[in-house]
Amino acid sequence: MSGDLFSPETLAFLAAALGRTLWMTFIGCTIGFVIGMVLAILRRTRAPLLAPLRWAAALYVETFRRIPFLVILILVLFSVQAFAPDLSLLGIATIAVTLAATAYLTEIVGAGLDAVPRPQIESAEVLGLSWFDTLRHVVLPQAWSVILPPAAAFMVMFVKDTALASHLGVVELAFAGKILVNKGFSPLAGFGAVLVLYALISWPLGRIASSLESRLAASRHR
Amino acid sequence: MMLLRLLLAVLLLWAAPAVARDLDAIRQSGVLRVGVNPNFPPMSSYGDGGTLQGFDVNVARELGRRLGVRVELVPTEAASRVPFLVSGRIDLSLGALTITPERRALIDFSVPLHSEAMGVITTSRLPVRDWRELNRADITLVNMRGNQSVSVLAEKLPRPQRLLVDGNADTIRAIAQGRADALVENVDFFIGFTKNYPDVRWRVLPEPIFTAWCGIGLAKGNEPLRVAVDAALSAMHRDGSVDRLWRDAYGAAMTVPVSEDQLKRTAASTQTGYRFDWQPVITALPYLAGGAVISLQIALIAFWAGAVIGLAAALARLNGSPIARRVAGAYVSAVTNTPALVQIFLLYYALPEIGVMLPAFVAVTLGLTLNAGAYLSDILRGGINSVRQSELDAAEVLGLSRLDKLRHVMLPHIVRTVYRPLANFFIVLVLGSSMAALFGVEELTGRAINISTANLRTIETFAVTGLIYIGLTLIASALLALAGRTMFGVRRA
Repeated sequence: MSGDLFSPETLAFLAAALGRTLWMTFIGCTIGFVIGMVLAILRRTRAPLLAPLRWAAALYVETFRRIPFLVILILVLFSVQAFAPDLSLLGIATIAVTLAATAYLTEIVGAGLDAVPRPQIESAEVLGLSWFDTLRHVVLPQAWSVILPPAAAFMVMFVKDTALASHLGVVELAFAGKILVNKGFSPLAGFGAVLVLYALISWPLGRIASSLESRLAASRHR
Repeated sequence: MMLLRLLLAVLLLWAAPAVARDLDAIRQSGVLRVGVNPNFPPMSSYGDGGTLQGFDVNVARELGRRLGVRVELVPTEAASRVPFLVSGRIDLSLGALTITPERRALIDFSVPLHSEAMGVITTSRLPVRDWRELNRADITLVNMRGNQSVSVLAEKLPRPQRLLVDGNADTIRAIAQGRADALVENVDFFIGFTKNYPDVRWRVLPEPIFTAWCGIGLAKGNEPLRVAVDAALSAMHRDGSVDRLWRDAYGAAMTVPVSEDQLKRTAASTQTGYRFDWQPVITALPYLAGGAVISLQIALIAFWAGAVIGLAAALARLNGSPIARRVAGAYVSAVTNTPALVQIFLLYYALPEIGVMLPAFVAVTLGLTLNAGAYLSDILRGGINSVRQSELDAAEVLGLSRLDKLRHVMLPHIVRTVYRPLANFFIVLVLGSSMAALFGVEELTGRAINISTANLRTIETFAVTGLIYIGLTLIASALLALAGRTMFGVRRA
């Protein structure tokens, strides 16, 4: 069936693959952001009782930032078999994205929390605000504008990293390129088309992320 | 140590009871799920129209017919076979699954489906009649990188020179072109490629060096299913079905056919579930460590070559002519907006279309270098921008020469700004070098895939591999931080 790269079937096939790429990235990074938020806050608590949890969170972040995403994918593929043998490959890859994204986003959120000047937190304590109120009314509103731009940039970057899920057999964009080539398209056409699609997604998203950065940065310095 | 224990605790959850489906469940659902390798012609591969076809596929369909169920084919990579069997994602596993004692501890096997005769393919140029005569230093044997035959040869035929190539077809081409004299491999799998060179007078030496047997893999303890498969498969051997299907796929009979004796000898199993065994991985630690060295090599080459490109691109974007600015900007956005993996696909698979055939190592390292260049250009540009105009003006007033200005004013600033991002990026490259495994380069991840394909201890192998990456990057981070402090006065974060 070598021939028309722009036939309706091929375009529908590529669109579905693109959808899976975005699904893995968006779901994985969103869950990762929420868990990362919890872990980052946890790591900045001081209660002695929470020390083991702080320690586990630090261990988690260090571990998953030092193992290649490809190896994480392979480990998740095989570990998950024990709990959910019928989970789809897309689901497995999404879990792997979540695990990796959580580790990196914990660091990004943490840097944002640390950017809030200490005196502000101390004054909140002096005013008698509870730990939770300090977090909610003093730290998070200010940290937010520091956290969002790099977190958005991270998510845009991860769109490209999900290409490795092709190794598991998830029919996302990179694997779609392989399938097109196996069906008889020239490697230049098959992989070239996929490359262009990635750029078409990544470039505008990257622009949005960086405009987010300049807008939020401006509001900080007002 | 705690890390190891934590990882183990997580992994031990894996030892949950097997959920492989028994014969009744399969009959009730009416579907037999068979794992086949999607990239192994003529055993099984995608044909025209995207359907799987080949010897294994036909055997699976015939088995299904005899068991009275429909066959659902599940594409399964070599390393996935055991976990998929244990979890019940597949009921049977095909794909030249060699029966070994190591594997018998993990899964059960049917009676043999076919042989794997390790023999010699050579040409009329080499006047030998027996494989033992090949043990001479003036002979060159060609081998496929990563195949089991490499270690077998080192033991049985230590003297000849070795030429390692990357693909099945490359082995036969090397002999046809006279770069090697003979191939010691599974004769059946390779003989097909000799048809591409009809002018060469090919010969197969009569006596195989040794013969291994491949069976159909099943989850441990799934006795009724194994008995049913054994009965159906034995019948297929006896009525000539297996021979016919083999001839259809290979155009010749099996070099060493399965004997009646082997069909009678069936081994029942007792054990069920998955038991961890770390011994095979621990034995392979030196091999993995060698792979880690290659991972580091890839990262180092990509880093330094990328730094040169990145510096040039950064300078072009800051001070270059409008054209240089455009070119550098286009390079950076083209590379940073697309996945490195797909870029390497293009370098590796598409460049040969215009006659540039890059070996896997070169293609991967080049791809990572192009990426490093783009990302480092951003980092370096930020560093150069960090030098304040007022400081340059001050240097001007002090009458510093251009070189002194660069050395004493600009560089200290730039180094302090870029050092930590550069060090972090080196770690990213070490982790990114694992991509090379997908192109057959035997760095750390590639070797882990090699090992787990042979010993089927995927979880154990990759858990250890993960630990090696953690150790490697921790050491690299520590050394880089130390160098930064002592040499460039970069403070800790």
